[in-house]
Amino acid sequence: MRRIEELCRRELSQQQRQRPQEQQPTAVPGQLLEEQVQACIQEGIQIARNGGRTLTQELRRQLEERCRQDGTLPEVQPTRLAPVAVSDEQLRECIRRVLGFLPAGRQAVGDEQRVRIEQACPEVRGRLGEILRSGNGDSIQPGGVATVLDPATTDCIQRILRRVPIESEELTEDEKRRILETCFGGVTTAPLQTPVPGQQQPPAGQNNTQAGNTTEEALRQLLEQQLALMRQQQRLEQERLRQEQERSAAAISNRTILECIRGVLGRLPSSPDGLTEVQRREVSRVCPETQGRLSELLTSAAAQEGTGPAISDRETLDCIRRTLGGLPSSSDVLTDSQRVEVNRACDAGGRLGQLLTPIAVEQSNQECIRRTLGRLPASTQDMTKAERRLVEQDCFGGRSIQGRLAEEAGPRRGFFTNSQAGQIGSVEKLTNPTGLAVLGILLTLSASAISLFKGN
Amino acid sequence: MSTKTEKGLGNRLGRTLFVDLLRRLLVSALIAVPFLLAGVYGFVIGDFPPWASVTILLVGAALMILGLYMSLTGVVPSSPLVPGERQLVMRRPAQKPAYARIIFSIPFFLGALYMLGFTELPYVYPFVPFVAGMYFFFKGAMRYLRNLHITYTITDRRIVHMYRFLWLNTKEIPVGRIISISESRSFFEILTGRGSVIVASGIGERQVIRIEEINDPGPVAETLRTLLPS
Repeated sequence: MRRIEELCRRELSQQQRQRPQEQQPTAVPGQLLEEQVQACIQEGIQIARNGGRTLTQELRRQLEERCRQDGTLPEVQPTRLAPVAVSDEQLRECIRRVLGFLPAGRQAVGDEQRVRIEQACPEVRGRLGEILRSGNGDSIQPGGVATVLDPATTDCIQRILRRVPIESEELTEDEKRRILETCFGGVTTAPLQTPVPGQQQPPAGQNNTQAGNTTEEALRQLLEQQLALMRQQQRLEQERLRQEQERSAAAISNRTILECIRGVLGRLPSSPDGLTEVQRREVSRVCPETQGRLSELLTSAAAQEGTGPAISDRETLDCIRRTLGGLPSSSDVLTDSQRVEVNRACDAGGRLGQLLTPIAVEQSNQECIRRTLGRLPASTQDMTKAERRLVEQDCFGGRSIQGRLAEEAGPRRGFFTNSQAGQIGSVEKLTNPTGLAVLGILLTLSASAISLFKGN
Repeated sequence: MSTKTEKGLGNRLGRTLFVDLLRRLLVSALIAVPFLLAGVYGFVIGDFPPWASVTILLVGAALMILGLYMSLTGVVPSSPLVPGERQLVMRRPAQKPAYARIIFSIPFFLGALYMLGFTELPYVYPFVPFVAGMYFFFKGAMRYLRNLHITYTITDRRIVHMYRFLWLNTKEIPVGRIISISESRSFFEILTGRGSVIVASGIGERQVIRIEEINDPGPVAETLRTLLPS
């Protein structure tokens, strides 16, 4: 490094001689030369900083080579030194939106994150590393110097320490010295100084000591930044691994739960609406992980397996409902004029027969009821008159909804027998568990209260 | 003459008026609380129809009010004595049979709950044990409340059965007209140390006083026998 300084001094002395007299500082020639040498080196460091580069061993080696050759500072790669392009900034914003943060480098981005980024920001494809290199990772504070973790320096530090340091304070002075010497170009006591203009210059020996301290301080700062980057990268890597593990565990867990449901029911329903209360309880008992998540699990499974009507079909069914005021149970009951009207309004394109299946109509009706009421009642008895009118108007074109809900359409638990809807007698229609319980309570209460009033 | 035998922690504590009152209030609350909880559950968590929740809450409230009233009014026994009359025995029916009925109802409820929630059996199957359980429960509850207001008093002149609820109903037999005294103890009553003493002065309902379900009926019968004309 001494050699670099000598080369800088020689070069700057020549420049000094070529400069106009008015531009020269008023200090003595020796001090002026020293100042310019110092400024030269600081300028080199500053250029590297402004270019978003870490003052690594490699860069310092380039600096030394160039200075040895012609006494000029090495050129920094234009792509790194160039001002940030607007498009790159937008792309970084896009990456930040997708991931929630801006990774410090390409190595901090997992495969799945890369796919997500490329899907959301297609322009990034093939340029991710370049864009991230030219941007500041979110982990670094604004105004920070080093933004990209240099693998060679990292390896160098880890080789010396045999560990990833957490804090710079945990490093001993000996370790710091070895790192600075080995990984940052071996300059720890360079006799360089940046004099303050207008201030009386100290003697040469003191000057050299202060300059060395300044350089050492700068290198120490670089070391701090390098350590911060290493910590950040380690944290990001751990975070990425944790997220991947969580996703993997969640996927395995969901598959296991769905298999459990399939084992209990013998099938995998597309939604919990088709399950009876007993089936729900059995599923909840055997597969306790489903509690509170049954609907979410079944819906996601249905979406993945493609069961249930597709979104476009659902929209078409809703369109038919809007057009006709309600969904017919099948396409056979439609008149010709209704068919024409539906085809014109909903672009059903001759698919009415496929769309208007009993299951699809039932599901669409249930979705409509859920949309209207915010819940799906088990039966019409669980709805108030106002709710029933609302549902009839919104979902069934003003027609009565007796017997239209899922539970009423399927097998029904009766008082004496379990019957199909429409087959039950008037006694059966009057029964539901809560009503029966209240009946039993009132009956027995009145019977036993008689003895209380009689006194015997 | 020692004519009253009291056993158990409950009876000993019951000697204190305040503790006795607290105990009765606690039992009344325990009877009413299941209904109040069910009503609140129906409103807040469950999907009961509103009318059902209201009905259940009303039943709970009625039981609570009734229990409070009967606990407060029945806590002070009153036995009007004429001048010169001496009280020999005063007993109240034991509450153990009432408690037993309430506890006996629990298996019926559990059976009904199982059949309702864990099977697809038609509703009549859980309904029958539920009604049976409710019957035993209310039978026990009403027996408990009724027993709070029944007092059997034996003086040197008469035997009095007094029931005071919303009204007063007394039945008296003068000692001089007693024609028979009998004890009645079933198997379970023998096991639990309870029984009944039947005092008759003639034929007919009004001529018979049944001192029913009292603890340790032997001394009561013995006292009555000493009152018989020799």
